[in-house]
Amino acid sequence: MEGLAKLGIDPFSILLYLLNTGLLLVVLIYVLYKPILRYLDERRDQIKRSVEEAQLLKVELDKKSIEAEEASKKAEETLKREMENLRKFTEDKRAELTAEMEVARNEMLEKADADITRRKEALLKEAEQATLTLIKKIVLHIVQNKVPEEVVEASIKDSWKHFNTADRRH
Amino acid sequence: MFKDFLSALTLEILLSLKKGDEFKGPPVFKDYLEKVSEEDLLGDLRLIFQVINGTDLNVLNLKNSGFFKTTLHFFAENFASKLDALGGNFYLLPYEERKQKAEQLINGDSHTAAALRDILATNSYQEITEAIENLSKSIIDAGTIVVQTPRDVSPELKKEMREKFAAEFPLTFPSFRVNRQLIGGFRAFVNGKSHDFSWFSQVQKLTSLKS
Repeated sequence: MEGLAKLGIDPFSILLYLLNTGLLLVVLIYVLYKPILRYLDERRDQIKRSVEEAQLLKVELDKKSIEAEEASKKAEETLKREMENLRKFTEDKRAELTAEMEVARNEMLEKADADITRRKEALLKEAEQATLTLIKKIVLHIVQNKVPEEVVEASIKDSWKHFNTADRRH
Repeated sequence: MFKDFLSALTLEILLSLKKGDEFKGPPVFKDYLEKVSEEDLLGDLRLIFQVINGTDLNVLNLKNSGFFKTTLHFFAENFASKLDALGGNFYLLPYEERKQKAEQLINGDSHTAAALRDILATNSYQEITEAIENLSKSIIDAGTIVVQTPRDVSPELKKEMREKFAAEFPLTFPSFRVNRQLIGGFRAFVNGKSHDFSWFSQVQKLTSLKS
């Protein structure tokens, strides 16, 4: 003790310091350290919960994402199928309409062809009639005006002979 | 038309019967007088007077009359040959020229000859042929024979045609008509049937042919 005293150290003071320090520690433990620890625990728990929620959310998100992807795939397939059906329907309709148009076109062509044939025949008939009339006029004009009298007289005699021959046959 | 002829012929017959003179009428009637009985002659004279008095030929029954058959024979053969000899231009001549030509064709001073000349001088060919056709129908129910030619044919050919038709249809009277439209050949209508040998019909046939 004396040696401490010679060194200028007071054991009481040291005790007092120790008491102070002990008190300070108690105060710090109860006032500061424990709330901090409690806060830290709470914070850790909160973070842990958050992480777990995040994990759950991620799983949920993944699940939703998969579902959405599947739904998207399904929708895409449906759309594809619908598109295919639509394409097929359009193709069928187009073929049907093309066939109808072809039939209508053929009918129109046949009618036009028949009409043309009829008109052509009528024109030919008219032309034939006109030609025959003209030939008749020309022939009659020639034979009425250009045949000598003796030829006419001979024709009467020949016809009379022909008549007699024909008559005898009957 | 036949009234004057029948009157003249009857007068000739009666004069020849009364006086015993030679009959001056056409020879066919002389043959008739030689063959006919008194009874038939009286019957025929009765018919003749009815015709002369204007009775229509179609009303009388002439089918059994020898006189009217002889008359038809005369007109269808003897008189027809005279008609054929005249040609188509004769009927276009003035009366005096026709009379002159008729006198050249039918000579003689008998009443019958005068009546025949008068028939030729005062009637057209169509009137004469129609009258003879009517007489023919009244006596033998004869059909109609019409021969159309583009020109007037020669008397020889007409005679040939008459003989041909007479062989098939005795006592019928073919009439000849000019139809210039025929151009050549001839056309005959025999009892409603047409025999067309004309050039016109041949042209018609030719132009009616179709390809």
